[in-house]
Amino acid sequence: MLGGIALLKKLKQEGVYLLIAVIACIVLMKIAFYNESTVNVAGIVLSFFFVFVLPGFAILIYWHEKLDFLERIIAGTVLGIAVIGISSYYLGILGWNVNGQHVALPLLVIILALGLSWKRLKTY
Amino acid sequence: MDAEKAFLAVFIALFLYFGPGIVFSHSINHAYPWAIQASDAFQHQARVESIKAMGNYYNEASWISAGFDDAVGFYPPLMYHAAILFSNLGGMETYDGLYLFVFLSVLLSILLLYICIKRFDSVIAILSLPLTFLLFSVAENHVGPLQSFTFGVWPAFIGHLFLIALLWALLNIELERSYILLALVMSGMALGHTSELIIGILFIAVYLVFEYVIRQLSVSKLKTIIIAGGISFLVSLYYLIIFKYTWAYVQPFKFEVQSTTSDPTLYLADLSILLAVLGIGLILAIISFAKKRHLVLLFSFFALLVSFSNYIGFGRHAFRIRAFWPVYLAVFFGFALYYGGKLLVKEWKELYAGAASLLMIALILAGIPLIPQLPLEPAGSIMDQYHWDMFDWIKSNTEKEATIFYFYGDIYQHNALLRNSERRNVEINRNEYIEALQSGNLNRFMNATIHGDGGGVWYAYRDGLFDYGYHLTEKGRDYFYGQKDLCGFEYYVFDKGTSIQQLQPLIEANMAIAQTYANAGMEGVFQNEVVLVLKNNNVGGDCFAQKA
Repeated sequence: MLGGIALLKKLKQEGVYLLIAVIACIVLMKIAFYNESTVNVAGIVLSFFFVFVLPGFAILIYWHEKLDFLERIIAGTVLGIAVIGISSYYLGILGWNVNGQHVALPLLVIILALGLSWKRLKTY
Repeated sequence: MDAEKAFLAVFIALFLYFGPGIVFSHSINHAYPWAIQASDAFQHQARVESIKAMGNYYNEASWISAGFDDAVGFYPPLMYHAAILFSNLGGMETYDGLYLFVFLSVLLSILLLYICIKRFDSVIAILSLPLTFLLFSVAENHVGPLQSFTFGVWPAFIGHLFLIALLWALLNIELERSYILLALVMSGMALGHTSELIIGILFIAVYLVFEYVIRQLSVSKLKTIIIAGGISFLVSLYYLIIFKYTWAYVQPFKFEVQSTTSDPTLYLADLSILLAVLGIGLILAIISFAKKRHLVLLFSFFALLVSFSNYIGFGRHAFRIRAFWPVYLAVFFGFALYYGGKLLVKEWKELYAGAASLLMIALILAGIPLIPQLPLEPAGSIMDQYHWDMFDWIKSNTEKEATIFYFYGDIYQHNALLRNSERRNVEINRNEYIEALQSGNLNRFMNATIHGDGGGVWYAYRDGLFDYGYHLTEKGRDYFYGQKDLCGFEYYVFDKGTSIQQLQPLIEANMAIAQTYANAGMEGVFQNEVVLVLKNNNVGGDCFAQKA
């Protein structure tokens, strides 16, 4: 029970960090691409987070006790790129049109990663 | 917010602003492919769009393969697929989405290397970062690192990303189930840019020797590497078979000492005064390595050595590593600053390191003499709105099986851009066209090129999983480059202008031929200020009845 509360607290805290990271990235991208509308910049940043950052972050949650937030978000994004890019390629060949993957595939990776880490998270 | 995070935020802002921000003219979305300055970049731009159009990358699109619809999808696919998902969700054209994805991948490489260096020393990690701005530098007498972006050496960037991720995964090898991390990274290399997989495997071998020498090699580490290797082999197997029968078959490794390249790169001479700084940093790193044998330093020594492997036959791959020196050698820069700063600062703190790092970035951006210079101006584009509209019209209004014939146009020498027509493309042989015009001997049958991505893997196609054929060798050179009937195509494209004054006669000839074709019954179906498209309703008829 105590473990569950601690986990919930950590997830909540990291959720706030993720939100701060998203907002910071929108601001930084808007500075660099000041000719682009804020709505477009926000949409593009959110897309990057949804397609690569969150799946990677979910994969690395298994090692959340050993790797700090910054490391998990950076390295996780690289792993997210690998998982999404590779699975999209093979699933496309197997018949899942690439144009139908951009929401469902990252979501699937996130759910799978969290599911596989669940046993570990429960014991936190 | 602590000093480190604040510094990283400023670093990222500066990197995005002075890198992709300037290259993209501070816009993400463009009306046509922007900041593309070579055929190779159009190759990737057209391929990512073709995969989106086809829904998968089982085969190459016919318009990329000289009209063949069974040519196997041979390029490492990871970058394209990742970029399509990103573009689709972000509401971007694939040409903008892919290019932005490449820049963000480079930023990730830098941040991941930063994380790795931080394991060694957090101050040196911060002091290493300014050197990475030289990724946007140009060289005086050859194509420099900035052109790696604008010329389209994009898959190599993905390879670098996973090579650095390999370092990160090895630093974490003692974590429980770390084989998952290693397997993902190795699979990323295999399907991201396969040549980096070879470099990665070499580094793993160096790592094992290193661990053995420092008596840290354990059975569990060996087991992790073997399991990871096995998983990544299985994950990559399907593409590796394609790789074996395409790249590895057509362009097998050959020992060839190469001291220069036409690819974007850096030579030692380009570094000028930084060479001394990096040299000092390297010596200090070697001294430090003797005391504290850290994998991060070994990785940088390894990258430095591999970047000179052009002398032992690694050719262009070595030069591509050099173009990424501003990242791979960043730790040496950090060392030099760290120990140089010790003369002024008794004890480094992250705050001082951040300030010193930003000062160095400011000096690099200010263009102080004797270091590689950053142009700090928007990269132009080969493509323009008029030609883009023409390609758009062709792909929306012509029959899918139609062939488009191009007379002289300035931009068509970057022939991969023709693939944006999404049709089979044939271009007049420029030299022969010029000679024919000079001798007044222009006639119906002339040499012309059926364009496509055939040079690399000969339009390889699959007869079975391990059974491949090659259209290029089967059809023969003449089929692609030989004589064609100039009345035998469905559509003709004529450019109406040139930016090169001496080539004005070619444009006049274009217009004269267009008039001849019109007299023979061809109809104008599209035109704007710079380009005219005629439709041939009598394919194979005598369109030269009235001599041009």
